[in-house]
Amino acid sequence: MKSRFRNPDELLAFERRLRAGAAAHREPAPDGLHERVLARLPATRRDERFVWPRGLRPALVAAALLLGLGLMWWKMPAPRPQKSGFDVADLARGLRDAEAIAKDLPVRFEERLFDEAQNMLADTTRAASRVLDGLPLPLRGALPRM
Amino acid sequence: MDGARRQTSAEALAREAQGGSVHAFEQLVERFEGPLYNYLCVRTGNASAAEDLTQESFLRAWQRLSYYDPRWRFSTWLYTLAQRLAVSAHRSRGKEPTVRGDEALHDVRAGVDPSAEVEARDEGRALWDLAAKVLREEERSALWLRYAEDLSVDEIARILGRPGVTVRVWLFRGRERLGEALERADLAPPRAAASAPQPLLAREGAGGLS
Repeated sequence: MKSRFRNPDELLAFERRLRAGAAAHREPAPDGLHERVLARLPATRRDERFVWPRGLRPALVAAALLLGLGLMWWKMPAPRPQKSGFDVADLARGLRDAEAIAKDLPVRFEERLFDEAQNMLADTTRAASRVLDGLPLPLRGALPRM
Repeated sequence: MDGARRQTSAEALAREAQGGSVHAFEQLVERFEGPLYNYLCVRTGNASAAEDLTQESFLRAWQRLSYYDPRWRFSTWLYTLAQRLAVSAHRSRGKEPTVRGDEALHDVRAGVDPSAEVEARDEGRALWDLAAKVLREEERSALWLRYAEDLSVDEIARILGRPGVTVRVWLFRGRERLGEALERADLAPPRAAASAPQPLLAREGAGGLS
């Protein structure tokens, strides 16, 4: 920043003038100002600075700390209990899922199952005929007709 | 007793007054009413307003004395209260037009007799009268607190509620504008005939704005 004072001496001289000028410029306080101030003092309410009662402040800090800890504990998720033994709910859930899976089986699997059942029926009939053929006649006659 | 009382620091008196001593507060009023009134005269440019503000400042100080911390200078605290009251008063009455330029210089020239040997007192008065007319409120407040009250930049910053850098700028601008106005008023140019011109940059860099 460019100054109009070309060197430090000029600035110092100007500062001296300002100081001397201020001393000359001072005026005494107006007459009666002192008395007017003092006369109004009794009617002026004095603010009382709030002072913490002894011991109250640490108690409040402790209470706030406890409250904070309590809130943290309250907000913390509770631990899940360990699983133990047979759970009926799990079984029911499994059955419900199995039903859903069976319902979702494709139709072609149903057809294959039907074929398998027919084959099994034929095989069983043949086996039963052989067993009957091998029985003694009187015993075969006693059996109901198939 | 009276002599001993004069030796008591303002801070000690304030501590006594905090305890309820009206007598100690009386001493503080006696000690600071003049300087505070003069500061407010410079700050407001109005003697009547300065008187009212001085009175209000002391009453506010009495009211808020329990908040004063004796580790700090009482004068700084008192001036800070006065400054806030002055700002409030200024806002409530609105900005008054400031006399500037040739009109101000004419007024100042009229107050000084250039044909007579101008005494230092008259010149000093004229200097600050001119400051009141050509400087901004914050510039003349900062200049007065610095050169009349001999306060540090930090103390001025606390009183005016602005950073120290801002106060340094106000002081710098205030000196520059006042020096220029002095030359134009032809009262006494600030040029010193003593030494040869030197670059001022080094000084400004080392705190020339203070």
